[in-house]
Amino acid sequence: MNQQRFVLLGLPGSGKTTFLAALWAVLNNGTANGEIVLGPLRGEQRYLNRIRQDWLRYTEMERTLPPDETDLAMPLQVRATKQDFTLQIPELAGENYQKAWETRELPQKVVDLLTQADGLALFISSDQVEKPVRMDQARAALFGLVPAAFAETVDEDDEDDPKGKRSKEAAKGEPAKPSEDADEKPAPESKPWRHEMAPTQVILVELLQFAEQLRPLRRLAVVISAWDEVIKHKAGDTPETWLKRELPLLWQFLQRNPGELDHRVFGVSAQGGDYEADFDRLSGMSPALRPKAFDAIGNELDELVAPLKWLPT
Amino acid sequence: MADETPPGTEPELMEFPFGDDLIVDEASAVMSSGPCRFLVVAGAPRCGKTTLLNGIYELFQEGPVGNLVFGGSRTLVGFEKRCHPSREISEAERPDTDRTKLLEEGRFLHLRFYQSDCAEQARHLVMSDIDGEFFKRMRDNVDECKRHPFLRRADRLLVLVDGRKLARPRRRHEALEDAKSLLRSLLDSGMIDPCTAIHVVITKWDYAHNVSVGTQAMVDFVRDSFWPILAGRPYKWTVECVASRPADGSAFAFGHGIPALLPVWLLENPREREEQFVFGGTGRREMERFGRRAVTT
Repeated sequence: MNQQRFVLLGLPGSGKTTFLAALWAVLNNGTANGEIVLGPLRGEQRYLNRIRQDWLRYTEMERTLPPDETDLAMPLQVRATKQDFTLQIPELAGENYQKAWETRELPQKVVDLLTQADGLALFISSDQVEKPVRMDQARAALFGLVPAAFAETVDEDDEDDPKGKRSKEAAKGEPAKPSEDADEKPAPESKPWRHEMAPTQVILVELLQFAEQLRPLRRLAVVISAWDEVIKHKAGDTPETWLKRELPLLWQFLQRNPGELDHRVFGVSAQGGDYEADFDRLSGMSPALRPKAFDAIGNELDELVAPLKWLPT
Repeated sequence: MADETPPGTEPELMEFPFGDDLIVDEASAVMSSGPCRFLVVAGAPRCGKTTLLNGIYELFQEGPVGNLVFGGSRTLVGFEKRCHPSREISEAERPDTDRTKLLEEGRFLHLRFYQSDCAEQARHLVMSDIDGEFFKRMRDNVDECKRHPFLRRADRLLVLVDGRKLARPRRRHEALEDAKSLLRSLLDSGMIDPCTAIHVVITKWDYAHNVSVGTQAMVDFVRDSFWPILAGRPYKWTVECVASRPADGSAFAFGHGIPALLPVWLLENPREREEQFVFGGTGRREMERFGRRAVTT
C-alpha cells in the first residue's frame, strides 16, 4: 500500500490542528467532489475524531496531542482509480518548533520524522505575525499624527550645537557646561532581548534552516491559515502577495532556483470564518463546504487537501 | 508532541549549531563552504560598526536590497540581539546599538545572498563585528594587528569614520586622525593583503552631509586627508557615505548608502586582479577555489 508521510511545521496557533480537523471532517462527510476521498477505515482515529468534533461544534481546537497518539494516519483513496494510500501526519505541537528556536534543540523523534517525511508543509497564521518594528518606524508613524513633537531633533549634550546649548540653558536656568560626547554615553535602559521577541519571519526562516540541515527541502508547501480574515480586510489579496508583504524575509528565503527549493503558497480557511461573527452563515451550510483552499494567486481550489496533494514529486 | 520516554529519563535531543556570533573557526568553515566575501569592519568605539551591520540586516527584513535576495543566515540570533535596542519592542528611550563586547577573539556575522536576476548559486557574506577597543589597540601598536590572522583574508577592509564627529569642529580632526592612524597601523603591519579593497566609510552621514571644511565638501576633505596614507601603496580604495540609522527628522532613509554599496562589497571580487596575475586567467574554478579559504592562515 502506498504511504505518503507529510510533516506539518508551524508555530503554536498556526492552524495545523484546525486544518487536520477540517480535512478529516470533509473526508468523513463524503459529499465533497474532490479527487481524494476517504478510504476504508483502519485502526485508531480517536484523536482525529475528537478534533473533528470540536471543529463541527465551532469551538477552538485542543492542540495538545494525547500521550498515546503520536502519529495520525488518514486512509485515503483516489476517487477515479480507487487506489488506496495512507496520509501519515505526525501531529507535532507548535511548541516543539518554538522551543527549537529558543534552545537550538529538537527531540530526536521529531528530527527522525522531519528526515523521513515525503513532504513538508509550513503553516503560518495570518493573524499572528509579529513584525520587526524599528524605533524610527514607530516614531515616523507617530510623527504623522503629532508632527510637532518630532519636528527637530536637538542634541542637548552637544557642546558644539548652539541649539542644544540654548535648550539646556533654558531648561536649567544656568549656563551649559561641557559634557562628554553623547555618542560615548552608555545606552539607556531597555528590556533585555529574549528569543520570543524575534519577528515571526526570523523564527520561521530558522526553522526551515533547521529542517534543511537534516535534508534538502526540495518541495515546501506554505499554507497561510485564517485566509478568510485576510481577504475580509484586504479584498484582492493573494497568498503570494501576502507572504511577500507580511513576511518579506521568509519570502526572499524561498525565492531560490526551483531546482534547489520548489515551493508553493496556499491560503486556507479551515474554519470557514470567524466562529462568533460568522456563526449564522457557518451553521447554515454543509460542513463539507465550510473550509476552503486557495492557490498562490487567490483562485479557489477544488479540495482542502490540495496543499498536501502538491507535495510529492 | 507526546513524550514517550519513560519517566525519569531525558528525551534524546539533537542540537543545531550556530545561531549566535561565529568565532574564527566557525567563520572559516562557512567561508570554505562556497563563494564568499569577507568584510572586516574597522573603526573607533561607537563610530557605527555594528549599526552598519544591523542596517544591512534590517534592510533585508523589509525585502530584497536591489537585486540581492536574502538566502539565509547562520547568525540570526546574533543579528536579532544586536538590532533589539533599536526596535520598538525593547522599549528603550531612543534607538541605540549595544557596545560590542570586548572579547579576546573576533566575532563574525553571516548572511547568504542570491541575485534575483541570476540563477547562480548563493554567496556567503561574512562580516567582522569587533569591539572598537580592539581597533584602538591595533591603532596604538602595529604588533597588535599581527595577533589577528583573519585580517589577511579580508576581501574588503571598511575603515569607518564617525560622520557625527566630522560634523563638529572640535571633534573632526580627532576622529579623522584616529581612523587614519588605524589604517596606517593595519597597512604597515603587513596584515592587509594588497588585493584587499579599502573603503573609507563616513558613517552617520546625516550629520555630515551638508558640512563643508573650508571650501571643501566633506567627502573631498576626507579623501584628501587619507591620500597620504594610501599614496604609493597598491590598494584600490574609495570614500563612501552611509547613514545606517539616521536621526529622527532626518531626510535620509534608514540605511542610506547601503543599497548602493552592498552589491559592490558582495559581488565584485577585488582579488580578481591577483587571479589574473597568478593563474593567468579568470576561470570560474580558480575564482571559486580562491573564494574557498580559511579565515586563519
